[in-house]
Amino acid sequence: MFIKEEAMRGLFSKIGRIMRLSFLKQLKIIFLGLGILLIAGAGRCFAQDISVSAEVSSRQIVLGDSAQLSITVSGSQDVEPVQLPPIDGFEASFLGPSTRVSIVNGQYSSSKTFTYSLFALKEGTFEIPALNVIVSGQTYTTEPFSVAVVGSADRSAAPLPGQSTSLKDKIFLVLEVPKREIYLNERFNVKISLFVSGLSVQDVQYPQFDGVGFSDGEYGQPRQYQQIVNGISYQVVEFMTDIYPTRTGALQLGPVKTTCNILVGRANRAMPFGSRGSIFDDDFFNSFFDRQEKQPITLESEAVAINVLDFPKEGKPENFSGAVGKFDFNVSVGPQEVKEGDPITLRMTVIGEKKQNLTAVQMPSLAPGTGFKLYDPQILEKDNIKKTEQVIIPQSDTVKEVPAITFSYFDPQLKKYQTITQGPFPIKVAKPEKSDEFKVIGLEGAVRPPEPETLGQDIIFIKRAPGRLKPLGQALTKSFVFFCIIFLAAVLWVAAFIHYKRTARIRTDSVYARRLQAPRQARQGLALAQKLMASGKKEMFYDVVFKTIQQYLGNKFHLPSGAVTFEAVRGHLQKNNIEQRIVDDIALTYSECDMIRYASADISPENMDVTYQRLAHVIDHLERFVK
Amino acid sequence: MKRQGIFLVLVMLMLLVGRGGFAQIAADEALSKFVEAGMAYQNEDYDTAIKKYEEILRGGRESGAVYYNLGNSYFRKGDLGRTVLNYERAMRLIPRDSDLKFNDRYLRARINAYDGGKAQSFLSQAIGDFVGFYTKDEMALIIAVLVLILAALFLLSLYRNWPKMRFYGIGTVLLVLILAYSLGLAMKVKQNAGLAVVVTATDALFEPRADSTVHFKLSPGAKATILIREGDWMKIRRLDGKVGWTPGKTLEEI
Repeated sequence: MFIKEEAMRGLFSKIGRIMRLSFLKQLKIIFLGLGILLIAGAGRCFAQDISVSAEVSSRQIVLGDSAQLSITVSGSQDVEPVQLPPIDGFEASFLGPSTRVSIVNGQYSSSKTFTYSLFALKEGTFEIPALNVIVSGQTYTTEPFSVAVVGSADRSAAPLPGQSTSLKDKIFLVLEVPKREIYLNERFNVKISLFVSGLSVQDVQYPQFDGVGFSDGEYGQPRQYQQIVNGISYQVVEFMTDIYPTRTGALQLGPVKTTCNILVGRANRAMPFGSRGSIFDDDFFNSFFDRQEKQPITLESEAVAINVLDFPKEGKPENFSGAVGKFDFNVSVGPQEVKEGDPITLRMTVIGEKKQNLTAVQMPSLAPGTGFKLYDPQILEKDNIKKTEQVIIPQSDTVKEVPAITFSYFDPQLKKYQTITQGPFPIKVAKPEKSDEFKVIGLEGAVRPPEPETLGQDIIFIKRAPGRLKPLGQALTKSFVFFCIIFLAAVLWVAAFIHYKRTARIRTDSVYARRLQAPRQARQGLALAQKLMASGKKEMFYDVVFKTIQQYLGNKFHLPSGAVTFEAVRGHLQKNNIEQRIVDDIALTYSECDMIRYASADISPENMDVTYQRLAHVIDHLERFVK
Repeated sequence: MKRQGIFLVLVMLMLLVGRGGFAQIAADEALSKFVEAGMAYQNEDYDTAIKKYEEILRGGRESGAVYYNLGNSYFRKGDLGRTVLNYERAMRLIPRDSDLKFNDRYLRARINAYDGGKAQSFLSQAIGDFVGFYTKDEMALIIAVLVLILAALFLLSLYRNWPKMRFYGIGTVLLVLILAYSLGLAMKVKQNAGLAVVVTATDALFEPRADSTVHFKLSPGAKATILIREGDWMKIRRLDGKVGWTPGKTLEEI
């Protein structure tokens, strides 16, 4: 079971009270106590007892150095981060938590540690007070202990008499103001110096003013130099800026604040500040190898009381608008000869001495009702010059001049108002010419739009060329030739299409191609046979007759040339319902040919003629009836 | 069989040629009248100019320039109705003529004729421009040529064994064009059918009787479509769709 908080606190306080021993001994007691607690809870393996302790990495710290403060809570992970109270002599910052879990011989234990960095601010011995830690909703308290801060790591170097013993003496910020009485809006120079001695400093930020009533300007490049004050050598960083008060009365300037990082660690002890060059250098390798730590620090200067004076009432010019300093004022007007309604440019320039507060300077303006139409001025501000350009238009030709313009300012050195008057500027305004009356203003130099021309309104003249005088009502759509051409084209197209279809079929359909071929080949065979008959060549005649009928029937019924026997043909003939007479004729022709070709019987020319006629008749008949 | 076909064609040819039995004046005579009319116009003798131009037309010859010049002559005489009529006729022959278009626009602004009162949409304007750009003959010719090209391409694709997609690609383009021009031609024919111009100011009545109630007014130069002719009366429809009866001869067909 858990030990009750009261019991725990009682145990620690008792130990602390009875034996004001060294920290090590205290730790031993703590561990002893823990051992007892462990034994007490031995009955339950997984139950853990909660203990809280605080320790510091070193009990002796060199000024400007830091030590690590660890608050360890063992036995529970349910710990709220500890908020350290302000500790005298130190600046503490939280570095982070860490958790450790271990299982030894089946014994589970865990601890959580919060680590803080303690940065020594001054010499002396300081007490780290008792710290409250909330674990699982219960409050535990650590033992207080003390830590010593020494001036220098080098014990042999004896401190100079009257030497500072605080960090504030090693690094500090000084605000310097040239005078304590200043007029409203008067710009004055402020010097802020950062003094550093025996420390390594990095990342110095530009100082910032606290307090109201002043407007701060920008900083220039800071200056660095060495300065010896009270026998101690300081590295000085000097910031300069101009500021001006924005309200009157007794005001406080500052305090000025800046932040920088002090390098803490071995390097701090090993290397004297003077050998380290510029403090703005990011000494990467040093910080890498020496494992330096950056300790942020906020520096604050003293505030300075300043009395801001209002402008004196007596002799205050009417048009005074708050310009303070020394100024020059110029006015130019151009062109000086214009037509009524033409623009004139009025240019005003206020030139201040260097570092004059120009934001408070209000440019004088031309009063309305002086016969001019006034446009909004364009204001330009650069360095110590403020310029305006304004377009003014004389409204009548009676205007003879641009009235005088005055600019007033307050000279804080003379403590007097000064007024500069420029003008009046004579101008000549002429009556506008009729054609000039409508003019676009502000477009000088731009391309003027062309004059709108007035076009006459009438019809265009008649045509001289008659064009083609075609018969009335003649139209292509009524033209015979047009339709003839279309008709012809259509006929041609159909013919071409049919031709294509036919050739395509012959190419692809061999049955069709052969059937188509049959009569032509038959005709050729018959012609040859007739020729042979006339010349009396019997064998050749019958040869041709046989070939012709065989080829013809083969083509007609799509039979391979070797397979065209009468038996093969007979079936096809019957399928086509051919007359028996014709079938008999074919059979007769076949047998006749066979007889002559193989038996070479004696055949008369009359017989040949009969055979020829029979063949011609058969082919003619088949052509007509076999499709 | 072939002979029969040729004979048939010849008969058709004869029939078609025989149609044009029209008393025409010679082209030379028409030309001399045209020049005379032009001179008369220049001398501001518009009556003579009109007479000469009308003679050319009565002589069975026409051209865009004749109608245009006649329209100009009527304009000078102040007869806006007949000016519009002749410009419209010229428009059917020379639709892209810039002078004609300019004068027509000017005239339309002058007469301020009622045009239906609707602002045309972009699409209908584009279609109108397309249809108005060509004459009827030009459109017919374009269609015929496109069809011939399509047919020829089809044959070519067969003989040359083109891949099908190639012919379909070109064919689709041609087909779309043919369709567009055919629709355009159809629209043109339909629009022009019975279209007439009011030559003398008149009223359109509810009934074809002189004592009937007046329906709407017809000012010279306004366009209307003649629906029916009944004796001396014409049933007409104005561009805005209003239909009424008006005595003949107040409108002249384009």
